[in-house]
Amino acid sequence: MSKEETILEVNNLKKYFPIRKGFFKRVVGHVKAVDDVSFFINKGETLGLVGESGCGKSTLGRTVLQLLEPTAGDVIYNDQGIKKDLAETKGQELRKLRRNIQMIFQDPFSSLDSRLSVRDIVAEPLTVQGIGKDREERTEMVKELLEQVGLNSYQMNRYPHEFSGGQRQRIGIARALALNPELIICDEPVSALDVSVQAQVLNLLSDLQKDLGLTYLFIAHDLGVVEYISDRIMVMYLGKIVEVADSDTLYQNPQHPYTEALLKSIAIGDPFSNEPREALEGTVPDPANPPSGCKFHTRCPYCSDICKTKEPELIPTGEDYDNYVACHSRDSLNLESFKK
Amino acid sequence: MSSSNCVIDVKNLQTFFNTENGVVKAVNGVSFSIEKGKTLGIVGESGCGKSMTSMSLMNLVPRPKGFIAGGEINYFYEDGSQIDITEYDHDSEKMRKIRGNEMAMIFQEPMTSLNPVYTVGDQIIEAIKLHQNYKNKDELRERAVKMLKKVGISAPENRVDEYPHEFSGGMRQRAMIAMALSCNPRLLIADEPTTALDVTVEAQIINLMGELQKDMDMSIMFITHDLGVIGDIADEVMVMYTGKVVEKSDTKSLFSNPKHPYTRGLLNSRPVIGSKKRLEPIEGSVPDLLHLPEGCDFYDRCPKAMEICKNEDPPVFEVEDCKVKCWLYREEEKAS
Repeated sequence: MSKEETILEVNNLKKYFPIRKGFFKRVVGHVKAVDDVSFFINKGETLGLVGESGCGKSTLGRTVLQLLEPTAGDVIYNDQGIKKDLAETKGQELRKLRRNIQMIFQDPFSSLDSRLSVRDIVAEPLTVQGIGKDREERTEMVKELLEQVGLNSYQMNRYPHEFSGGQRQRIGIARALALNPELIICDEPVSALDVSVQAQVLNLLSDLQKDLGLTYLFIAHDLGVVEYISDRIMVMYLGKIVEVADSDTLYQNPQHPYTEALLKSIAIGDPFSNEPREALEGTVPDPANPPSGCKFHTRCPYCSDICKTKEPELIPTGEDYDNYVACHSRDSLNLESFKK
Repeated sequence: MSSSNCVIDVKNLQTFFNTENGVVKAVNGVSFSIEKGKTLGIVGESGCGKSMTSMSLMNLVPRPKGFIAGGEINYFYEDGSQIDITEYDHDSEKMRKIRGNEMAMIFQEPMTSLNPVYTVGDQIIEAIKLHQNYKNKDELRERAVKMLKKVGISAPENRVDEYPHEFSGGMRQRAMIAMALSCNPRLLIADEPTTALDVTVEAQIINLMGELQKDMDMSIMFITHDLGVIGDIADEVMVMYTGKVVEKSDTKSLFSNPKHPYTRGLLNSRPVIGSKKRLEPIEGSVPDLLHLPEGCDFYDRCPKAMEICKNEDPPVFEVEDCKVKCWLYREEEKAS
């Protein structure tokens, strides 16, 4: 794993939610939402994270930011050359580190406080972190931030309900930018938006990345969007990372059967091809009661005996050092690339 | 169009809403027809009147604020006789006979459109009981099981007694489809049926709908904002903007040769896999329906806007079998 310029390194991160039952709320089991996940993000890149709903994408994002306390594992943040484990930091120190990592949420309707004006929403992180001398200075900063995300600063005294979905998402982005972060975790930032607005927000995010040198962890379920914005992509299934690759390789030469299945089910919208999309059978198994061995074996068309008993490890795929796959039959499979 | 093959023919439909601030023209002069066994796709951004068009067809426009202000919705029965839906009251006997038996609807949100306190089976049985002449309990149950089996739910004999929360998102949508198809409708209205689902499940549902359509020789009106899905399923596409149809053509020419600047904008906004070309979004956002611009509604956002667009709303022009509502296609423009 290349360590130069790494901004965030996650090692063996686990987040288990207890399942409680009965009168005494005894713990009868765990939902392993994030199960032994390791990855790294280099400075200035966009790392995409895809998977079906319920596979633990959002939980992973929140656990990285310590919004959820991890069950085990390290989240090592590179703070100007000094490595700090977020999972071990608490209180004041964690709050200081959080300046550098911000989040953009999926739903632009519920992620903004409807009783605060836009000025107050964007200024809140500044107030919390004690940035800016006084109210006036912070207002100036808010104006600048709003202009930066393509809103007019005269709109800052309005309330969220006066804005459209795309504009609200811009407010959410302005709030995330307020503290000058290095890393932004984008949790499905464009899923709730119309196509034309989605394109505007995607362009805004990539412009900001260029101008401010931001690093993104970009969570999405739309494979087209993820491909467009990401340098590298992680594919997640039932709390596990099954494949990591740079985005070209992932679409041209998928190594994991699940990645192949995802690519096959993309609606390419080609009215000239009469072939139906090849749909992956079944649905994601119950995470409280996951299958043994490889978690994908129940739906995998290439399943063999070993898959049912032994869990595959995430192993580098030959020549390119930064691409990984977790599959027993990775060498024998000849998977189809994405067809346009 | 010969009426023998036509299932529904809508002419100049207008669905308005009374609000405190004035009349909102949610659907404003929409015309289309669907032939037997064909699929019409309706695309557009939120608030362009897609869903209200479908609600008008079912005569289910939210009352008392909403009402059908004008136009005709002619439904053609199997035997060739026809009925204008707008002339009937929403809860008249005639309307109830049409819903379910003749046309049925599936909704976007499979969780909120199923009743959580009844089993899935009971809800399917309710639909069959209301619209068909099955009386015997066992017979009804058998029919519900058959429907669940038809939409690809495994172990339907057990699943029929389960509640919606025990179903996954994809299965709920399958159950909705089973319910809608339980009375063999001739027209299925699908309002964003796959929007809330994962890609893998979306592919399953789209394939299922295609198979069932062939099986039952059904017409489908498919509403979505996802152009990718439209390309896969529709024979003909209608693009809507601010309650009006801006372009209508067969799916192939819509994708290969989009004519209206709005359609082009929608197609260019989609990330294409394998190309890192910067997206070209449509600038601005959909105008407020209460304060529409004077001329063409798309004028403010249109990259090809001309002088005439500012003042005059364009009529519909016929270009190579397509209908386009844009001044770019008037005679003088084409000549130059």
